[in-house]
Amino acid sequence: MRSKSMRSVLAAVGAFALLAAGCGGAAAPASTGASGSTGSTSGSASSSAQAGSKTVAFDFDYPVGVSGPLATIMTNLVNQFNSTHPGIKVTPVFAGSYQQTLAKVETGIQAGNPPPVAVLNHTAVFDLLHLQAIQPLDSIVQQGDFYPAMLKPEVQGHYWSVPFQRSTVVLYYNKTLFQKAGLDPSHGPTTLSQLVSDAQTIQQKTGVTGIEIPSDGTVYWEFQPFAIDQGSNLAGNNGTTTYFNSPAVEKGLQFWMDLSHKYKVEPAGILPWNTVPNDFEAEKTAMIVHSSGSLASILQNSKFQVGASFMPKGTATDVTNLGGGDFYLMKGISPSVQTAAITFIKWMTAPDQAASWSMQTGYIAVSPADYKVPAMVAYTKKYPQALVAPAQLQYAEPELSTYQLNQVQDIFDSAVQSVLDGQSPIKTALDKAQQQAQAVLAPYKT
Amino acid sequence: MSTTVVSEAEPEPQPGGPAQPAPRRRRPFTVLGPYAVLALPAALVVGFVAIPIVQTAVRSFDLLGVRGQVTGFGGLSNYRALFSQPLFLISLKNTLVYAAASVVLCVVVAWLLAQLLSARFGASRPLLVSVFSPTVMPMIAAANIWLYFLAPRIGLFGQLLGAIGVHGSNLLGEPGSALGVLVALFVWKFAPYFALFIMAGLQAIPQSVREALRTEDPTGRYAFRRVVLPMLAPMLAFVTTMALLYSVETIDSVYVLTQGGPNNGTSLVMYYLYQLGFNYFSWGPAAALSALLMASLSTLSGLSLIGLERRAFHWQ
Repeated sequence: MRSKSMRSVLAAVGAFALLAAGCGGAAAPASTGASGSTGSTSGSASSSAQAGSKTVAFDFDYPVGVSGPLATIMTNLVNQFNSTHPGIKVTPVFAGSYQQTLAKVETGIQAGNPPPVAVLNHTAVFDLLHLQAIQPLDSIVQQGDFYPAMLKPEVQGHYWSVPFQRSTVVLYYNKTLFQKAGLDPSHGPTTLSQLVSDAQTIQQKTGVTGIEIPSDGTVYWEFQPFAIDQGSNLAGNNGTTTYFNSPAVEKGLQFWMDLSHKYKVEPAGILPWNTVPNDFEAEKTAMIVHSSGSLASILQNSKFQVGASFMPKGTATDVTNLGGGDFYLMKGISPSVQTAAITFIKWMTAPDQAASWSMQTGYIAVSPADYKVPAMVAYTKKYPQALVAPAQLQYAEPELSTYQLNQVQDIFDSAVQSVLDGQSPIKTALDKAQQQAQAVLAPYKT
Repeated sequence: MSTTVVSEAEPEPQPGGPAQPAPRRRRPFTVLGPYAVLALPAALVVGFVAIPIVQTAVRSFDLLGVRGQVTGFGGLSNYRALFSQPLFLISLKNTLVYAAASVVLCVVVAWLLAQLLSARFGASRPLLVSVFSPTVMPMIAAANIWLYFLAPRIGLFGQLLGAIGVHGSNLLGEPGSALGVLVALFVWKFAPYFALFIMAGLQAIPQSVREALRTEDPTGRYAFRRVVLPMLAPMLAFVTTMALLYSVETIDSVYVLTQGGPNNGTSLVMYYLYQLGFNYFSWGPAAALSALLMASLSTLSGLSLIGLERRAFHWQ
């Protein structure tokens, strides 16, 4: 009775107090929830070494980087793990985009309460090492039969993450429109000049835009194949070298500009990563460059024949670059949680689960063995497009990865956008980006 | 019985007054009660507002490691590092443009809305609902709705513009128009809210004064300049200050709509602060920027409060 009247008085104390109370109320359950799921078990489990006597529970943070109902698929997969592993309870926590998930994990690290397991960008390795946040996962990687391209680059002599949701940059094309325009629908354009001529033909014959390449979010990623094709990736493998103003990057960016300004086969300006697939599905554009991870959702939403092909090339060899997320194991967790977390990571990346995740999302399965799982064999028979990305792997180059990654990526992305928006000439923008990136990376050079 | 109690209580509203019956039992609560009631909110304010503010200000002069731990005394080095970042200067410039445009438009639109809504024929219920629905909506939700509206080609704006022959509009795809969208969203969301204050100010003008003005100054120009505006000045000052504070604090719409892009054209200081801390892990410069924002915004609101008190219009 008394507390009730107290509460009603408190409710009337005023906006300031209410605001503060609201903050407190929001913060309190969050912190108790986190310590309840990770902390409670770490104490109990370290006393009793036997697994199974007590349930080990921990959080697992993951991002969603491609289109489709990935959160639902992930929850189902984790539930399957929980039901087949009595004694372990993993709570999947959707944490936003890759960048947002990394920010959340970093905050957890600083508060001394990181999620024991997280899916983060493969490229986050340098920053996570700098934060002394992660443990090597050599045993899992060496026991598994992962694609070698997914394990590059090896940093400081260890494998720091287990490949999970990997993707490449691919070209999607509308086979039905290709046929209508009198083009061969059995393959997409294989060279850059063919890309331009196909796009022009389609625009003339059908009135549909030729091609769209996304240019917001992670611009560097879709751009990388165009630079690699001209002879140089955006960065070296040591975490501190960047080649932002190399002639190859310049040529690649010039081609991007030409697509919209010279050949007029692409809308000018910044095209959003998230809506480019929608334009393709709605037949507003005949071709798009996007993640191989968007395949499942594009197949589902398109009412026409979807083709997926290698990136068109300007030189003799095929190119693409890898992207996507890996499992990381954090430092500073109790031994019992660590054992359970390793079990979880192994299970999630084993062929059956990896194949299932790949089929439902469109991400590349992480091992050649995954493509021998019967369900996967049947799937790839039905959707041969799903075999394009794994076939690309032998030509795939690593994604831009440095220390201070978010900042370095932002620097490059802004430079590209300033060129696309006509605010800056290519050379000036790239020189400035290179200089800024090197200033950021200078303290990390040994 | 009850009427006598009421008439007795009315002239003596103060607690602990001599007219209170049974003073002995009530006295401890009336003395300590208010403090007990205040203890919890005060603790929350101290714990979640005051202590972090002081801590941030102190930290801004320390050297901070990657995990935010103090590694030594840095003097002004965090502030120097902050001002040497090109992106910080860009964000400052963007914020200036954004805040100036938002505040001016917001006050003007709020004024017009207040006029419209105080006109006797104007304030129909559906009109009120449609005008105030943006105000009660959380910014994150509003920005997400706008994100759908603005999606190039497939969004509502793209289709409407396409219907009148403007093709290929991509408002979030260019730095200038993207900042314009943020301003428009701000005005859409906050102008109706501020219109309420201006309406309250307008309605505070007594009926007799309004009637007198109507007969003596039919054009209303003189009345506006010499009576309405002076009377509304404190309210306008308040609204302007609040609009300025809100606009400098803008982050949610940036986070949802543009993430500071394209080409950093919509990177506002609050978003840059978030970037510094949570994406770049530059805790030192982030603390320095927090301290600067805190100092400048509290100075601004302090000054305007003083000004408000001085210029307040009192009916004698």
